[in-house]
Amino acid sequence: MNVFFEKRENSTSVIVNEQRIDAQNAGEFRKYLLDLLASGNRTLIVNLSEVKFMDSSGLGALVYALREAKMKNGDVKVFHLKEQVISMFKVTRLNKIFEIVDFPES
Amino acid sequence: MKSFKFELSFPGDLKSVRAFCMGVRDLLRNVWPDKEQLVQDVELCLMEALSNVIFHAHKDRPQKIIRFQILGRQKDVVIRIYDSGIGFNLDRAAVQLPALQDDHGRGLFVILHLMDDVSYQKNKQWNYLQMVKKF
Repeated sequence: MNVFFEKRENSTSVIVNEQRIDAQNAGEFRKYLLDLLASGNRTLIVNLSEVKFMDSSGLGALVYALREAKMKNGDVKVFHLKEQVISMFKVTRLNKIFEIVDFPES
Repeated sequence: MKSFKFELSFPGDLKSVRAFCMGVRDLLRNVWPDKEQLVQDVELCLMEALSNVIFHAHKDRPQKIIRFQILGRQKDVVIRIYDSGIGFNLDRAAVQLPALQDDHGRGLFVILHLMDDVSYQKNKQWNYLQMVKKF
């Protein structure tokens, strides 16, 4: 899976260079996020600007990471969501628990 | 537009399923270039349904074959996915969103939310999920 991170002053940016997060790679994505949290990165800001397709498995990976982060007084925020991904957050109402840092121009 | 029908059988593993969903998406984009929302909804529901077959019906046994059928008509598209697992009872009223903090259990809800008609039939040899999306 093509994903990397950059340390910021108060957070860690996670850049996902994949067009899809679905059942095939969601497990790997979840492990990547959990490993970052386990190594002391408390707040993750996940840049999803390249992700054109996300299914419920992809959402599940983010929810799992958010739960872990909250237990450690951290957070997982999502950033630069494409239309299909925003739609998934809204349909499943996960926009209520995730801070979505911005929306694309519409 | 003339009706079309397409059928395929393929291995029940996630790599094949992803490639298949993308192939169906491209096919539908060619047939209905002005119906991008419908194409996206079908692709998503297909991925959700096929993932459910792999994880729940076939229980991660990739040697099991999935059968697929799509029928494009004047006013709707009908998708049937056949599995050879134990099947389940589809009770629409019982399908609710899980708690927001749960990391699984949203696939069937998404399908029911996006499709206009969803049914599931259990048979001795094959079960099938039918999804209908109207234009």
